[in-house]
Amino acid sequence: MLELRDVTVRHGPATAVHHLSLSIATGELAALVGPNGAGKSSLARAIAGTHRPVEGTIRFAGTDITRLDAAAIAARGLTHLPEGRPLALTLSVRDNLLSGAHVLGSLRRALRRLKDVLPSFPVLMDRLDQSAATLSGGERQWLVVARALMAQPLLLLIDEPTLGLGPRAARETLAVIAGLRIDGTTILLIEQNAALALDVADRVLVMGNGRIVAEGTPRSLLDDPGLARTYLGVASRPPHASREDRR
Amino acid sequence: MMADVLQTLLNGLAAGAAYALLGVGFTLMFGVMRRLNLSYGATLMFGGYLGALLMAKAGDALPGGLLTVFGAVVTVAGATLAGLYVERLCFAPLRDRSGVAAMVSSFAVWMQIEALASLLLPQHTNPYPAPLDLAPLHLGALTLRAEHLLTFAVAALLAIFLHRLLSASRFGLALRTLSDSAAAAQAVGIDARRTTLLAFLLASALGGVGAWLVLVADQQVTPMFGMWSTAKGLIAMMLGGLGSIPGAVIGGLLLGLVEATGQALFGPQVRELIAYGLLFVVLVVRPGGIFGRATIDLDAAARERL
Amino acid sequence: MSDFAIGLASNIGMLAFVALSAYLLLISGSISFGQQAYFGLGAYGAGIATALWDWPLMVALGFGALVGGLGGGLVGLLTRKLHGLYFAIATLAFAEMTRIALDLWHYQRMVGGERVGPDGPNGFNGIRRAFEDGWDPAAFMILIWTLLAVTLLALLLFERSRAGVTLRATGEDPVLTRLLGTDVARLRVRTAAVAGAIAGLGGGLYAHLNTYIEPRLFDIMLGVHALAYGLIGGLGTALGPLIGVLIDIGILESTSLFQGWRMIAFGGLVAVLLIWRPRGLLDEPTVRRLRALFARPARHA
Repeated sequence: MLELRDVTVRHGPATAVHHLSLSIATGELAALVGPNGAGKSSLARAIAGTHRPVEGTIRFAGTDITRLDAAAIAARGLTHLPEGRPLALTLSVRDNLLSGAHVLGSLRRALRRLKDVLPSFPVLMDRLDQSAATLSGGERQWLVVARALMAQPLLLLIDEPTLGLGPRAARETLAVIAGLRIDGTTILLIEQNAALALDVADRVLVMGNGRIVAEGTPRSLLDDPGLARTYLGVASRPPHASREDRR
Repeated sequence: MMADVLQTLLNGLAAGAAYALLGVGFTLMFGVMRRLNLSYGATLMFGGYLGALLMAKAGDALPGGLLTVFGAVVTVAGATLAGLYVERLCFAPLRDRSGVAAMVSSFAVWMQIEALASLLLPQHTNPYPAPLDLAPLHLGALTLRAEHLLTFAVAALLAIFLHRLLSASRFGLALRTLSDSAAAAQAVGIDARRTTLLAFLLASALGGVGAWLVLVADQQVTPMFGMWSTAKGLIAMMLGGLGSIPGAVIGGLLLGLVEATGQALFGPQVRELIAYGLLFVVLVVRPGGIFGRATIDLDAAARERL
Repeated sequence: MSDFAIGLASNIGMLAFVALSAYLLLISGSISFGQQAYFGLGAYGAGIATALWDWPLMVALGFGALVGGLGGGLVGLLTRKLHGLYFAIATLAFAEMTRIALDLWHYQRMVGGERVGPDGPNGFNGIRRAFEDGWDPAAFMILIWTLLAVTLLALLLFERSRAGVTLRATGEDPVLTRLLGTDVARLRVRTAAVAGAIAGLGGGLYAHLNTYIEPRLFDIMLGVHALAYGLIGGLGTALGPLIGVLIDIGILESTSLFQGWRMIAFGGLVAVLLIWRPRGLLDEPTVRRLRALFARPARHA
């Protein structure tokens, strides 16, 4: 579904991403973890088209999207939920949701889509006519996710959804995200909170200093104590313990 | 006595309706770009000059009512075309860069357009014929001139049209989203460049209609029209609160009323002084305007690095 | 030097004052569309001082600068909480108010048997002190340029001073401004006053060279031109606005095109230039590079 080859991203003189390659299979939930400054958000921006890479190619659903702008990429089914949860705060919840379906091409289609998406978000259903500014942090994150779903995306690129949220809201948010896989949506989740990401992901990519330093299933990564402690910030567990034991 | 007051208010509202259109145009542009288009008035003047020029040429060939419509179409089209020129030259290339440069660039184009207009019609006063074969309507002691009726009708129609466009169309939603948060617009795949261009064209067309209404009432167009309409639109926008469309409408109407009252009491020159004075006072005391907050968010304003 | 050249040089000199006035505010991060008001206040102030109150020329020029400075400071004080566009529009409003007020103001006295003084839209005639004192056009031009040179020198020194660097820093980083709080607010009000004084000085000189001024001269055209000079010439140094004036007047006078086409061409040139160099020819990076270039030979010596 998404394939990066040799991608390099620069911010002025500094290089944020070095010759990075990765691939995401259709329908999987891949998590990209790593410490602050590892280049995760720069990579996300390169994929989404808001900051062009200086080298390398990005292919999405069979098309080369490296040189396309953000709107064109969104129109092809790659929906980016950027860090910071940008919302049109003076607009109503309903309008924010409808704007998410911009790529569907008509307001009528957007209204129809809204009917399909809303049932999964009862909290938003109660607040449709309120302005987005009145929502709490966790509610805003749900709005951002619901808005992204309005576009009927093939791939969701979610950047730091739990930022600024308390532990309960963070867990709920990731549960919602995990639930999206039922529709077959491919998800690339960028998350600083590695523990939470490991809970939901099929596959984990660990990023450090602009490069992928490790890759594999959550279990295989946790089996490596050095890796677990350094990059994932989680205590490694003895090899024989199963995932269920941790709950 | 009462009739005089009501007549003054009526005149004020009619002028204010035109100002409201100018203010809304300014606001639309500001909303999507966060910059002032200093050449806005000049583009409207260009439309007016083009209209005057072509009407003078076509004058005898067309009957009265048709000439008026012809003039309207040419004026609005001219304003829109000039707006397109400004957007492409001054604002699109400087989109993510210096706002001051864009505004000064738009001023340079203002000078260009004024010079071009003077070349087209070298005289200071140029007739803008608008034969409206309608007798004035008398309601008791009040007189509703044909221009008044026209202004109210057209402004009301446009208000309804604009409201529907903004609230019930994909483009309207895209425009409102972009005006609120460029980041949110980008996240949902709105093409900011295209939306800005369309907003610009819409604003120019609306302003063109507003300008037409004023020119029809004045029956003439002069080189001062550029500065004049820029000022009116700007004041209307700021009175109502920067970036608010309903605010621009109220601001425009309020400006019209204040001016009409000022003129009735003190004469035409003081009228202009009051208009600017009102603007200055509002900015110093309540910069957010009537619809805004009492103190504008310092952080947001500070970060508006121009 | 021919009469034409003297007149040209004088015009350039006087316009440079308004340009520097707008420039000073620009580097502090404020866009002012209204510096023409202080130019006008200075012109009227100095003119009244000599023509109606019989003050000496130099004192009158100082008075003009004072009036300009007071105007600038007052507006700076009232608008100190405004930023960006709000500030810009407020300055525009004030400038237009000033112009219209001058249009309505009549203050005339009988001096030597005739009525002199501001006469509303009819302007203010008879500001003849400079010529009565014996200043011929060439000498006055030298006066203009001497005062301009002093002003430029003061500004160049200021830019290298601690206050100057602070001012420029707050212009480039508004968030820093917020963090530094009231100290910066005071600096900005003072800057506005100084900018007003500079414009006022230029206005006084203008009034005495032309002997006649009217409110129409001090309109928004002048104000935005003042801004444009800095933006064209470059915001990296106080010499930038001067270069901007030279380019404008230079093009205006050197081409033999008809007035209208000149404006169309010039307007287009400015728009294109600003796409290429939004902060002008001598913008901050260029100035830094030039300074580095000139600094190197000294180190090797």
